[in-house]
Amino acid sequence: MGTVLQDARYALRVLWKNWGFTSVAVVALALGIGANTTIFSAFNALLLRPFNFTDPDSLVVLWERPPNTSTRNSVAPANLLSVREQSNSFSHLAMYNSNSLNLTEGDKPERLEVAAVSPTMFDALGVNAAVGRTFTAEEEQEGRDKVVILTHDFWRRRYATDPAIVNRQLMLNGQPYTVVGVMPEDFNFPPTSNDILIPFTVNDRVRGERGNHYVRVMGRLKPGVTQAQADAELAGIASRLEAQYPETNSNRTIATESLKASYVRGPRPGLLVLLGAACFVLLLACANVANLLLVRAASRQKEIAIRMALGAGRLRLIRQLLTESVLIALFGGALGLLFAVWGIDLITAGIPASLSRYLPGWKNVGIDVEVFWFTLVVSLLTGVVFGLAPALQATKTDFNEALKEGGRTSGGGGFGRNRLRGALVVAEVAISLTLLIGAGLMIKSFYEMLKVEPGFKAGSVLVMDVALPRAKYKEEAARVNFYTQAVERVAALPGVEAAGAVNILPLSRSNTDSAFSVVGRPRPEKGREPQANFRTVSPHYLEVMGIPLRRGRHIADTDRADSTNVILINEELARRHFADTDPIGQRLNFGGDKDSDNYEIIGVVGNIKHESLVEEEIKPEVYRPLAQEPWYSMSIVVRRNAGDPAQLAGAVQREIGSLDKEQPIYNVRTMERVVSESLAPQRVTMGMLGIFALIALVLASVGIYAVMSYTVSQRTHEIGVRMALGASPRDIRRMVVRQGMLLAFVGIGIGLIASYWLMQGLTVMLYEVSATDPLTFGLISLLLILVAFAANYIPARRATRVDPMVALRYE
Amino acid sequence: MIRLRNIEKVYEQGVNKTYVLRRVDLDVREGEFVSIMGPSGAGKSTLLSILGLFDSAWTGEYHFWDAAVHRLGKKERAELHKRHIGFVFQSYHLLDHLTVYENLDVPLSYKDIKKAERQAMVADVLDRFQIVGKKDLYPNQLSGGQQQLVAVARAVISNPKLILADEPTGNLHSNQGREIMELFKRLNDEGTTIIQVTHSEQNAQFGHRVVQLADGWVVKE
Ligand SMILES: Nc1ncnc2c1ncn2[C@@H]1O[C@H](COP(=O)(O)OP(=O)(O)OP(=O)(O)O)[C@@H](O)[C@H]1O
Ligand SMILES: [Mg+2]
Repeated sequence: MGTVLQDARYALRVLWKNWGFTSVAVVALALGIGANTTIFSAFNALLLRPFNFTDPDSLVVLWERPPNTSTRNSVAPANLLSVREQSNSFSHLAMYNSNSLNLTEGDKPERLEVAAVSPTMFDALGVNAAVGRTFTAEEEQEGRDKVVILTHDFWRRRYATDPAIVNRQLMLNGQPYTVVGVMPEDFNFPPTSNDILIPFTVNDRVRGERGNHYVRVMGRLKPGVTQAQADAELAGIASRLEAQYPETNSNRTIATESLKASYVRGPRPGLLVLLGAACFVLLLACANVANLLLVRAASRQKEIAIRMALGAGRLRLIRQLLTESVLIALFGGALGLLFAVWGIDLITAGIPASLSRYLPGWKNVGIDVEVFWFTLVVSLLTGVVFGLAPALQATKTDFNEALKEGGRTSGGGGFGRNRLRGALVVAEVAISLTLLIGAGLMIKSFYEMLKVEPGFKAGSVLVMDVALPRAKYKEEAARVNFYTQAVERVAALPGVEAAGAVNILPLSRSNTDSAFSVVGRPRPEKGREPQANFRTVSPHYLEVMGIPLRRGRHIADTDRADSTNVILINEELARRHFADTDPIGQRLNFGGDKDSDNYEIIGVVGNIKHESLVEEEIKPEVYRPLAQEPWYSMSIVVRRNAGDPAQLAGAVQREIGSLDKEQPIYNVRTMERVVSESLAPQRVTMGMLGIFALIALVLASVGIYAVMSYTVSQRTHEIGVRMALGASPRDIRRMVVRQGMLLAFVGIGIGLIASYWLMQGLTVMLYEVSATDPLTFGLISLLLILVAFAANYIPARRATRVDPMVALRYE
Repeated sequence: MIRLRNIEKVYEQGVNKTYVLRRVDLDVREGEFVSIMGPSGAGKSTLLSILGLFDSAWTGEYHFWDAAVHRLGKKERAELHKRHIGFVFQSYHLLDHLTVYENLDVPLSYKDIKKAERQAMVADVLDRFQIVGKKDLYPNQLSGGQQQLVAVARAVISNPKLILADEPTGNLHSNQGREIMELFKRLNDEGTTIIQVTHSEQNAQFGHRVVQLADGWVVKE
């Protein structure tokens, strides 16, 4: 212990004396470690431990799906109730889904994010309320279900953590609910950043609902039961249900997926790529510092030789040198932690709330105890990794040689003596090339995404959401009236070109689709019907969004509740089902046998991107008139005739608010922001990768520069001799640059081969860009060649300033 | 061929000025073989490197044929040296990581000479110095005398008009030393001008005249 302290003290003194070297090394490592800490903090929170429930491995979610596919559909509630009765694999099975309720309290109505959950969910997760209690089993029955649990965030935000909130009554959608409890701060399920939880009510309607698949299901496997066993049992139950309810359950099976896996699917590929990239940055930093150490070790050869001559063992010397490198790494780790704070800020700022609310563990992205330990361990390992080779090399010297020093020898000039240094430079170039190519591909891909035509025109459009409460707006006419008036009033505002309403906005991360059939054609088998995205729109919605009409006519004010049921279809639906007939006048059926259940096609409109700008398959889509199919929740869209649509927000909100004082209008944003936020994950991944690549470029050029400078200083004598023998400055410059560029070219060659292979891992994230895009590979190589040349040129210029008189001074 | 007038060389160390050369006047005609002698520290090597155009920190006038060296820039001096002078350093200055063959090739590589011609020239010199067997060895695999032999070979390889040699036989057996001297004599007979620094009276005998230096002064011609 004593000698360790002594080593450390001595090492500190050496580092302090060489503060120039020390600070370069510390910053290089800090960049590498900081990159890793940043990504690890996201990786740990989002992928490794998104949930902190007990025994998370036995938690599963259930999906319905056609057999032998990987489709994942939500579950029909009656089917889940059947599973509950018939299965033996689960200790708990809970239904949940998300909706929203309007809280009226005081004078400002607020729309709350709500999770409706089966009471058994709390037991399944093994969590309890922080204040009060969770739901009892009876509270899923109608009549007893007007109870509510607050999330900790909402409790703090709205009630300043007042413990007296329990047993208070809240007016939600005009009905009184009793507060029974508050969840703990770290509770995050379902991970949609809810304000409150209410019971998922099981009533007669739910008990008979097998056709609508709208609930999500989570459960816990009984101890000892595997997922495969549960799946086998579920398959059996599904086939019994299929026999019993062929109308609704044909061609459907039920299967489990691990709860964690189901929630980490989204961020996984991006984070894996970034983690790989961060490791590369650290490796590069290690190579860089190892190189600096090698250079320094050469200048310390005499000190080391003397120590050995005085009887210091090799191990002792290696330990001394390793102490130095570990100390450097620890300083680097400390600074890296600071860089990480900044890096994490960058990531969290880049992901909008509209996306992060679906990421469990998002709130835990940051520097916590685990991230701290990670950083410490990485730093220690790093210190050993980059310190070992130079320490071994330095203590290998024949001390006789070193003591003699000077003499007529021309120093370590050629490759032979500097093989390790050269190899490190080659590795640095190869790694930075790989990172640069990765970033280059991502940037090109992002650029391609930005060029995508979404099928609508987002510019000048403002959007906002309205959710009418069910109790108050039970009548369809009331909803039609509200939205029709809202749209008319907004359209009349100065500066507004047009206004409309739609149930589900493009790129809003939600969807509703429906099975349909073409009237007059044979009905497809149950469960095998084609599906179409289902939209309800006001007459001017398509015009506001700039979605073009291709044939027929638009929905008009004359399409009313009591007139013929009409429908618009998109080009994709027309292409798939009316390839050789005119769709106008044909009719579609979405279930039901009455004549009025058949909707007459009046027009064909352009396709739009709905799921994401980069979705590969455009789905068939239909638009129904608001007047004939009014939803409770709609988005209002407003097109301004000139200027920033955001400036309309206040006026539009006031105008709609004046229709119903208790009605909150929320989520006001421009459509351009919706489009831009839909690319947030790609933007963050690209940005991070870009930053890493930039760091890599800087580290690699510093590496080349340092090694070439050192080589030049080592070759002073040789250069002097050559100049005395007639070499011109140009000859000298060319000789030095050639040696450095040879290393760079070898590194680029290796980097190209490695990239060709590694970039396959990027394929899933790339859009319209091949993982081996020759242009990117070529341009990035060229960039690196130029940078390497610059890094070589400065030492080469310095080499020409060698004065042969000085270099050849006789000993 | 060479005309030195009033050459002075000073090293300044803080406030101290050390004169290494004082008012040196020297004329060397083409075809001469001159020996410079004098005690250690007299300034012989310094004078030689001024003659060889390596050193530019001196005052006075130096005419090399029709070129006024004291008015030339660094580049022109280097060009002049490259074109006319072969230099044997007191401490050889061979390049350690190059073989004997490659060392001999270095001065040629900086001239506009075709590869085949260069190979012929190197082969010729290896032959003349009888070191063909050593051509693939590195300098540290040679004895001091062999290294000196290579250094001399490197100086004469491109057939310079003027050879400047700083104790070319310092590390050689008297036999080998004589061989070098005989080679110089032969070259001199063929028209090459030679200026050598030497401690040995015997070697000085090969030359036409002796210049004595002491404490930076030319004391006897
Ligand atoms: N860089 C320098 N700074 C100060 N003095 C120097 C420097 N280089 C040489 N000298 C001095 O110049 C004087 C002449 O040196 P020079 O090498 O020319 O002597 P020399 O006659 O060749 O001696 P030797 O026979 O030992 O080779 C010496 O006294 C030496 O100390
Ligand atoms: Mg001398």
